[in-house]
Amino acid sequence: MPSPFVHLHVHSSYSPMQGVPSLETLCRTARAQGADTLALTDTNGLYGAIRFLEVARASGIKPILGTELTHETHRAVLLAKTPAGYGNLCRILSARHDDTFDFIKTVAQYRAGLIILSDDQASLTEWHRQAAEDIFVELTPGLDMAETLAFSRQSGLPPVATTRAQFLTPSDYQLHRLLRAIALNTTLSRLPNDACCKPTQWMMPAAELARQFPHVPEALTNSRQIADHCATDWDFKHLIFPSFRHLTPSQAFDRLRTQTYEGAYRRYGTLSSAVSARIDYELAVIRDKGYADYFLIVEEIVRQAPRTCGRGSAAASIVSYCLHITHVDPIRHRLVFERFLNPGRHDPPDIDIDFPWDERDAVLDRVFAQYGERSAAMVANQNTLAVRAAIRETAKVYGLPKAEIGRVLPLILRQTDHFAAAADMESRAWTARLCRHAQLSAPWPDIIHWALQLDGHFRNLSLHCGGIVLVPDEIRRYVPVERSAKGVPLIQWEKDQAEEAGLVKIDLLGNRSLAVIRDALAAIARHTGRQIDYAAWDPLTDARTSALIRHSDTMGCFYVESPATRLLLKKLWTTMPAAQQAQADDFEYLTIVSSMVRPAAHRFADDFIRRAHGQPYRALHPTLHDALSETFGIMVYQEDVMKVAVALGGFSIEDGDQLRKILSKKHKQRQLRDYQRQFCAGALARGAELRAIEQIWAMIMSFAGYSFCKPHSASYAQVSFKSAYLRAHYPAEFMAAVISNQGGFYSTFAYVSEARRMGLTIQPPDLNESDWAYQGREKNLRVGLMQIKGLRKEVVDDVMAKRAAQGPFRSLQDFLERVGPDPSQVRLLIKAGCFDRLAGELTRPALLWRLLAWREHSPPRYLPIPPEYSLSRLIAEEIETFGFPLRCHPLDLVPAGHVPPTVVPACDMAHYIGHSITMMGALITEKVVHTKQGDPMEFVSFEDLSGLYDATIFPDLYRKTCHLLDTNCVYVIEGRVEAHFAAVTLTVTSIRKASYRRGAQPADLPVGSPIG
Amino acid sequence: MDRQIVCLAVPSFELALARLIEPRLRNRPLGVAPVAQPRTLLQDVSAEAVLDGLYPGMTVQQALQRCPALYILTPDVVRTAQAHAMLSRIITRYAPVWEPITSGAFLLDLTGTTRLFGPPCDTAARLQRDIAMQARFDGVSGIGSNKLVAQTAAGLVQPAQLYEVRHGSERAFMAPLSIEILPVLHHPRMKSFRQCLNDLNLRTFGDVADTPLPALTLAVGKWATPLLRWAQGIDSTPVTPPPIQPQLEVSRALEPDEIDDVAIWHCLADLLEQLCHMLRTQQRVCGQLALTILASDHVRSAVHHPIDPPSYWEIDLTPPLRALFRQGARRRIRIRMLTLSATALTVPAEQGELFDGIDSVPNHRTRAQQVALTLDRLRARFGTDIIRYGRTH
Repeated sequence: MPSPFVHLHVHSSYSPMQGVPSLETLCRTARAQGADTLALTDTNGLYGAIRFLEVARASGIKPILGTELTHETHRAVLLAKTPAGYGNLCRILSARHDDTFDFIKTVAQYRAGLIILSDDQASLTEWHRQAAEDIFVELTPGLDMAETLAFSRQSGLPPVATTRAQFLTPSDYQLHRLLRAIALNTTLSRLPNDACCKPTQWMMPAAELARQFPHVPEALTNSRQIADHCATDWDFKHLIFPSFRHLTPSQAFDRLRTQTYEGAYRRYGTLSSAVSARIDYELAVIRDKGYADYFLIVEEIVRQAPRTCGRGSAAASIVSYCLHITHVDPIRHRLVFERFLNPGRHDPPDIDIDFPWDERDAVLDRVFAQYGERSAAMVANQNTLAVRAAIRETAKVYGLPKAEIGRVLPLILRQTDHFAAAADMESRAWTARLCRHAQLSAPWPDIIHWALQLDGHFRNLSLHCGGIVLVPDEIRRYVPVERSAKGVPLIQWEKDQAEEAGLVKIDLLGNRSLAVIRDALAAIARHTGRQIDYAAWDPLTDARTSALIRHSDTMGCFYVESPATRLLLKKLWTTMPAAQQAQADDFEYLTIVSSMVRPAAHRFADDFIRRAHGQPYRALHPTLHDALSETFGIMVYQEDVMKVAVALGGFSIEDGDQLRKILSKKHKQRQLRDYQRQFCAGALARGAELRAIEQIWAMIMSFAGYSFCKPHSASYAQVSFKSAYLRAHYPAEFMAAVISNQGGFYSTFAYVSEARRMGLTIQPPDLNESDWAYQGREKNLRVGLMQIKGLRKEVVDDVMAKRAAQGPFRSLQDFLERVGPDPSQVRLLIKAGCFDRLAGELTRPALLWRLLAWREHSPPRYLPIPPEYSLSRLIAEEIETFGFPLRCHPLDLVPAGHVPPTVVPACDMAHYIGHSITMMGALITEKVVHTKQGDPMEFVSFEDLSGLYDATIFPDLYRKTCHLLDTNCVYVIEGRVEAHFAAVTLTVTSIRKASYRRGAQPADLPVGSPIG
Repeated sequence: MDRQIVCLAVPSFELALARLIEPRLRNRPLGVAPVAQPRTLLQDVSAEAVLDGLYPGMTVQQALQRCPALYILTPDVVRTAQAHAMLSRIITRYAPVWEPITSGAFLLDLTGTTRLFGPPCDTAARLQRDIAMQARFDGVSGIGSNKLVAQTAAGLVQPAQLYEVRHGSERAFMAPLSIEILPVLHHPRMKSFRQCLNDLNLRTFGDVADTPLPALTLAVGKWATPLLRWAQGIDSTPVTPPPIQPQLEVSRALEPDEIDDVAIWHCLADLLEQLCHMLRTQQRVCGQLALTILASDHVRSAVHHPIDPPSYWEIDLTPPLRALFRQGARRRIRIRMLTLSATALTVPAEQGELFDGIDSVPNHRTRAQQVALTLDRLRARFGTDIIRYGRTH
């Protein structure tokens, strides 16, 4: 028999910085209390609504969707009675986040299909006057119950009992207070009383609550009646997407077909039967699934930009390729369409498009202009309190200073990874042990204990990097919409909930490398007159480009510049036998490498290299030979999961794809168990041994980590190839574009050093030569004015405009008269050396004197000409102005007495394989990883005057020295040189900071020596 | 008459004092920190500690990691004040006018004392010797025609040494020295001037002295004239004895640091009772109440409130103290130390009752005063801790 009472007002951790319990614990507790129905009423939002439906159903609970709407002094609980009521709920919540929200009026306007519970007498009176139906007076223990009951009796509105639960047990009240203190930036003792709920607002069981209502038993039974009237069979499976320019489905499909074939002729010239068959097959699937409008809309968006990179699984579609949404030929590169779309796939297609980073906002603006804010909104990120933030914020509430938090936090974070592993220990005991180990005194044990319980708590929304959803009519009837800080409409769901609710997301993302390619192509056209057509440009067969990739000289090249990828390329190509090299397809290998550096497949990298070098291998089961022949029997791409599931497990393509998709979800254990049983049964039926099945399943499980599908890798590999082509043929233009667009894997200093190693001469910024961005031409790389810290872009724009209009500047005086800038900006230019070539006999300090005198009505007749800065001062100025020394390397600044007697340069490292050596280097990039035991260690890249080299610091040493490591600092490193497939690395045995002084003067650099 | 100014100082006075009292501390690395807790910053370090890579400003924990033999000293305000007073008694014999700079450092105006004590150079040497014999400190002395030159000279020598700058050679003396030694340039408000001088390559007093005044005015405005004078070794400021400002002060260190406002307020109320008791005992009333709060991150905030009319009653001082607490404790950082001081002290001028028994029923204020007096008596008889503020839950 169902309980007579139903919790109709309950908050979860999706009530931002208020509600304590997670959805899982909430539903588990409700079920343990014997509840069969539960309403989730988070504050002013449906932030976790879709997730709630899933969790509640999995717990055997019927979910009611609702919210607690609060605004100024008003409040009410709104429960969706019908799907139409849900639409109204979304509208009210959207209006709540507008600036002009009228609580009583808005609820009155959209109350159809909703049940209202409230103790707000002013609002209830107004709504009662409109209609008495579906309005209840909310009675909650400890919250003016007598007065509210009197109002109920006087007004005739029926009462209903709720707990307004913000937490599950009375002891969780402390967590609620902590959340409020974090939200209000205060301490627990300064927390105002009205900022928190009452300690009685916990999720009382029905029997406990009944004891509070001996005089109004109907308040309890009314909750059951309300629950019975509310919808609980929610269905969000239907896709919601607008039609393209109001065409009917058949008109849209016809148009798509026409455009696809037009594009195919442009792409292929003549159409082979394979191409035609693939187009027809894909079009048939698209027609059957009703996605023609989606393709047309995406094509229309993509058409706005000349350089894009359609990535993700969409690159497996020939229709996308013909529409110029993607740029990889799926026939030539054997990309599987079913990874993108298949008849059994229920979720919407997902097309991700990269635009040059600085063009992306304009594209979004055009989409909003076309569809209007009524039908379009951005997808949100739901920011949660991760462990780091939870500890930091809790420590602030406890009044600890920033410096102490910053010092202790890394100590704790290294241990919190083990918290899940120590699930058998009670949190207090675990925390006490941690604090003993890390020698942390009070109040840290309390801070850690509470903070661990806040882990994952929803905090606020932010803009997703590029996801946009479009709907045919009014978006506010499908999902509540808020506004981001920039004023952009933003739905309350992140991408997973949006997708599960049937909303179709289009990712319009910014990509720096596309801007690098654009800028480099423009510079090449300016300098050489050669116009390279981005769409028709095919660098895949260029010998110099292939050679560059095979030598792993890929610093600056899109996606293949990281130390891990460069090492992988080096291992693959350097010792590959000539016979294999002659047959190898560089693009195919680059596609594999791009995917193999991801965590899912990286552990099999060595096996892959051996097999690529010709070592014979035996697949774990014969059926895998064909399925994984491209990758030598190793699962590299996401779709390999599907292929293996189909070939060995006997899955249908749809089930295989579903398995792949579930792997990337967070809460998957239950479904995975079913799939594992299905896979084992299928594999056993095909004669596979149990041990082999376990190994293959473990390989499948590794794809729960970050991994790529082949179309995505291929799309990236193509951009990588284009970058590599530019680096091989136009190094100056390319490196200038890489540095100017910023955001690469390495620091500007590292790129400048690389440019120097590439044979380019680094030229300092110059008022008459430099632009805002770096400029590369022939063998020269001119530092851009953007590198001067504190210099404003509008000032530089003005300078460049005046220079273009009236010719080069002749002197400081000429500059001041023509531009008339802010003196602080001129000071920066002088200190950066931009005036050096115009100064004549004037030194930089002398120029600064003249700048001081510039705006004086009666300047002194005599201005001093002090001597030029010393060389050490000039270098210090460079470090201050540019962030790194320009005329020398940081290693030059190490005093001669501090350089060990036998330092091996990076270029000679390969001669010492197996030996222990001493090296020096500036730290360029570092990556912390964890061993299987969870111990942190680090891969580090250093640079000396002769080149880059990679090193590994294993856990024992890392523990002792991690506090020393910092980018651009210079170190003396001792270690053993190891070689692995021709990739030479240093296993560090000791590391210390070299005595590097900021004001030091390089011993071998005379004053005034040329830069570069 | 030429001025004769001597700067006499005991370098690292706290350390020297500690070593004097505890000889075992000699030759071992020492650091001074307000409290010997891991997060506390070092205020001063000995020469041995400098050799181990320690410097003022690093945390005690960092220092101990780098130098496990480090001994941390906490300043003993009373002991330091006593030693400072002892030094001042020695110098008073020779200097008609003297000015304390910091603990253990003085400026002495010996102008006109040559016929009495001999040349200032000899007087300074004698003073150093007296201090070494009587107080057993190794001091340094700088002698010059003004405070700037004397102080600068004292900063250039090692303990037990003396540096005299002859009249007329001030400019030459100052010329090679970095202008960074000027304390005024390290004031936060002087940051832009300092940057400007640095940009103009004016690194030494010689560079500044060679710059014409109109040009220097362009760079540092009204500071050009004093800067130029200092660069030429000219400083006409007199040696002035410090004004004596009577004040009463009570402090409490919270152990551990506290963030709970209720607990902190109880501590403040305790301090206020102590302060009022002292005021009543000394028959003085306070015209201004000041609260200094030292936070865990060593940030100090000081606020004060006028008391009008001046009073020594808790009931009058409690509301201003609440306001001071609200004003001073705005940051979300734990509090380490509270100091409550009463200044603008005067003699109470309460008017007695003209007629007895007219207002026989005591009002709230009177009752509070009676309670305070009773508490005073209780504490006088049974000790200060007999009644304390507590907390009810």
